[in-house]
Amino acid sequence: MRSAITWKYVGSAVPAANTVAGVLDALYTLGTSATYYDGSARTPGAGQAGTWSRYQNGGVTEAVYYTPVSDPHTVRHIFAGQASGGTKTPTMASPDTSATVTILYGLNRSSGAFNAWDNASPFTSGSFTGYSRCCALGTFTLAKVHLYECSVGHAVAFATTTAMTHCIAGDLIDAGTDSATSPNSAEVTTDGRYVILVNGGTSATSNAFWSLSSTTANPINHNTGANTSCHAYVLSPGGVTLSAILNTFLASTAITTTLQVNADGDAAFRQMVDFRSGGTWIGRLREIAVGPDAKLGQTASAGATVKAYAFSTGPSTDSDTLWLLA
Amino acid sequence: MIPHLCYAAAEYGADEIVMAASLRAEAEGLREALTDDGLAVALTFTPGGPHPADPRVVELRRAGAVVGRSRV
Repeated sequence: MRSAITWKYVGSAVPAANTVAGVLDALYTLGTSATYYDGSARTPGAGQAGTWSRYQNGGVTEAVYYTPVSDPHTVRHIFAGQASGGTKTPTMASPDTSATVTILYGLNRSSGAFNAWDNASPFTSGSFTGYSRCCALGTFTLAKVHLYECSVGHAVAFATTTAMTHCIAGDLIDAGTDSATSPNSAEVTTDGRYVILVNGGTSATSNAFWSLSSTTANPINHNTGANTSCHAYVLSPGGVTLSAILNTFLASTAITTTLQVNADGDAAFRQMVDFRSGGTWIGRLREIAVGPDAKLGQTASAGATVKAYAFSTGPSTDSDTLWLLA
Repeated sequence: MIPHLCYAAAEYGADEIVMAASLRAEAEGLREALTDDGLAVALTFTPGGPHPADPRVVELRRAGAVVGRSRV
């Protein structure tokens, strides 16, 4: 088993404008914040706090990229895009195609210095997954951007007042007891790491996603449809070949409200597990759990101690929730 | 993923897809998909593909100009 990671909620930011630049700037503001949502200190590059950088073209932000604190494979996570009329042709991860006024997201492994976001090698060297669409601003008027982080990855929610789409990525799979001591080169990197990339697609993420099906808008499921669909991938060991993943749970029955609490009525958080499309085991999602319905940005506490953060599909109504464990 | 380029070709209005010769066998499905969809798109294979560091990057072109890139 891999060691437990700790999630933290950085907070939310209101984009100055519902544009690519406005949304990327909001994300950059969060990523460089000196405090967490609760006022506690945050130091980018230390603890759970990743390092965020920004690329501006003539003063207009076109890309922000993130480096996790723990980064032995020099993975860079990049959000990018261009305004209407933009003519850049970034490399997309098939089957998605490029579009303007849309936030795109991709990963680069074995990265060098930032090059250009629309270059086939955005970070000069290494391997790039290509981008997938993760938020279309023509159809999504954002109220807030939310950022969650741990030492090996992040979760971002692009939220309207009533819905959201999302992006979750990083070294977020524990392949099991074998991976830490005798990694299988066909499965994980030699140091036992697995990197996943999840893009919510440009459709709103379903707020009733606790089904086992691969719909177009489940939070960690893959759908083969282009652009609007949710894509969930695991990267090949040391490379960026993408394999689709499907999530399931440690229960064989539907996740009902009753099953989300214990006999005392306390929230019960159960770890999620992932399988490749086709059924091969991948592992458990690291400190991402099934739990009760909640609203995006809420916390679950025991006394004064926060135990988990609600990565919910509902900004304003209690909805199905991925709980990021503190 | 290569057959999905049929969708990308239609989206971008491409008339040519350039890819590495190493993808030739995988691209047979794409050729069939293009034919089935009635798309007149030429497949061009070059030794290393259009991106020197990554043979899985393909270019979609229209009248010789790059209109899209995909990693397959």
